[in-house]
Amino acid sequence: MYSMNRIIHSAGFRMMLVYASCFSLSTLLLAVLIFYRLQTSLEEQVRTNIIQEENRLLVDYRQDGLQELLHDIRERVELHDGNDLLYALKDSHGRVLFDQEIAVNETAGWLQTHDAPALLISVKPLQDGYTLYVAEPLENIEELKTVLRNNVLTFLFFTLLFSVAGALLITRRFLRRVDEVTQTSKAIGRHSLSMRLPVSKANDDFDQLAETINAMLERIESLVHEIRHVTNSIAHDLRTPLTRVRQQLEAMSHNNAPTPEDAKHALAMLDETLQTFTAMLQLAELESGTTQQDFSKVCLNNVVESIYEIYLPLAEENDQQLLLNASGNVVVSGNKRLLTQLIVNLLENAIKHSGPGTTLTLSLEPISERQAILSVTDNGVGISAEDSALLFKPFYRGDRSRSTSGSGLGLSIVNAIANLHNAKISLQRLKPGMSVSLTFDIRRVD
Amino acid sequence: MRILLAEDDETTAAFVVKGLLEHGHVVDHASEGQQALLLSIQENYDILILDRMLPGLDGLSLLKSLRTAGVQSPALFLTALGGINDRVEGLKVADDYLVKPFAFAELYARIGSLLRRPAAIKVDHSLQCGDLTMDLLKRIILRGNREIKLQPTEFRLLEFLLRHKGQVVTRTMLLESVWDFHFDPKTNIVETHISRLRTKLNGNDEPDFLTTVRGAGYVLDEPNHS
Repeated sequence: MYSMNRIIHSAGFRMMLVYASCFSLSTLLLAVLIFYRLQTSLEEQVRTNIIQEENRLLVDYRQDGLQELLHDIRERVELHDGNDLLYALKDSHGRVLFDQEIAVNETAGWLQTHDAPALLISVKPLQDGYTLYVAEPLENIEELKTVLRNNVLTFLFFTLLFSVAGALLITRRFLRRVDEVTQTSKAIGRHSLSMRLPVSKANDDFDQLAETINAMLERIESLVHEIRHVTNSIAHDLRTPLTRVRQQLEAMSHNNAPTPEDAKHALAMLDETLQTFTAMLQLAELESGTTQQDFSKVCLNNVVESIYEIYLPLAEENDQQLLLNASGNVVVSGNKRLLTQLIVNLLENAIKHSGPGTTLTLSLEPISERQAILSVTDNGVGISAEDSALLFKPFYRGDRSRSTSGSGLGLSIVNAIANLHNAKISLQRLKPGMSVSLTFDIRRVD
Repeated sequence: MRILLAEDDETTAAFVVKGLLEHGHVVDHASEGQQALLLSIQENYDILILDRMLPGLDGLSLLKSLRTAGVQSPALFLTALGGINDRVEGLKVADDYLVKPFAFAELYARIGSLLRRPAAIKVDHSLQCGDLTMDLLKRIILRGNREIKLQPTEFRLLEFLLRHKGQVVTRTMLLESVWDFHFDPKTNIVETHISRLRTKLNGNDEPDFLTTVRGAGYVLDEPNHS
């Protein structure tokens, strides 16, 4: 199914091999440690045995002399009472009086022989120049060494075997999941954004990754959908006035005496197109977020008050009542020009869409130490629930035929400026009328 | 007036040159950055109109070099770069900024405003036009002996018109300078304010100082002047 080469080169396989090696190495270290501890303690035991035996023999020698000592030794060798001890005795001239093949040339101290059988020998000089040798074979320790070595090696062999086998199995599973993601991603890239990565019920790392990628795909798909809508709208909003201009110019070219009025008419339509174009460029610039760099302290009260004063005469002319309800001193971090444009767009939208005899309120109120709400409220015709969801989308217009003037971008620009300033925008349907509110973070005094 | 126009698009250049010649100005045209630099150092122009995206040397670098070289003539950028950052960057060096496409009347009004600039910088305590007097310290406006009460924004509007007495000021210039609006409002806010101001300025049978120039803007002047 998967070639060995691919499995060996996969990250999972390599990680598992590294893990198995680390595990084996630590097992080996543990075995060595245990071995040395055991060896030391066994040797200690042998030494104690020998010293005790020597002491017993010495007591007899001091009390009853050399003959009793020899007798003791012989008796012990013959009896062979479960004790593995070996003995030897030399006189002052180096002559051997008794020997179980352990006598050496040393005169005092401890000695260890390594050729089989390995022995630990104690050499003890006695009075009158005699030398006593007591030894015990170290075969227990040798045996322990062999057993430990064999067991550890067997253990390591199986550990490595199982690690590699496990790594191969798990890596294949791992590769299968990776391949699923890769295949689906490739298919999404080539064909359709509506495809999604498979998510199993296990809810493991892979499923979480797949869910994250799926959420991302969801967003991309909706963005692409939106772009398609915007492209269609651009085509419509730029083509329609351009077609009219073209018709006008065509008519003028057939006309022998075109009047300046004809030309002015064409110019007005062209200007409308350019306004839409400018608004689209501004929207793109705002959404790219590059204007955030030159933010400074802006007093929203000043902005709101001056806009109120500028629009009061216009409202009066339209037979509308404009009220100002501003309190506190709200300072935010932002771009004054953009904030002015935001409030003007909202206010103009309200002025244009609520008819004569209505009341408009421009309000700015701090709601806490840290936040303030700016709102534009009218008691005009209001907006339907389904339209309110689309209000801030680019190119939305109240009338479906898209025949009224205006680019349909004013409120999208409001939305983009609000986003740029981290202000939450919300729309409330009132009876009658509607209210758009923006929640700004107040800039801390510094 | 001697004017330098640095613009690489021949059609736009011809349109501007023709318009300026008709108004009696002398115009030199450079279609390339280096050429514009040489010309503006050799000649003493009253105003520089520069495209920002010029072949050879871009308008921004060109103007920076000229300012370093001590050329102080007022400069206006005429450009397709209309972003907020582009504007801010451009206005750090140039005196005014006009985004393409533009109406010739707009360009001409802005040139007029730039040429008058040194006079406008001078601190005046009062501005006058005929029997209309504005006292900037006491903030009192008199038409003859009659005192005219104005709202703060109307006061700023009248002050701007008086400072540009006899010159055409466009709707955009008013929006930018009087109301600090750097975008195009969708309502006829300028017209509303102008008509209010006109009503307040002109009492019974007094001559109207405020003239609307069709397709261009407004002029404040004494009637017998023009």
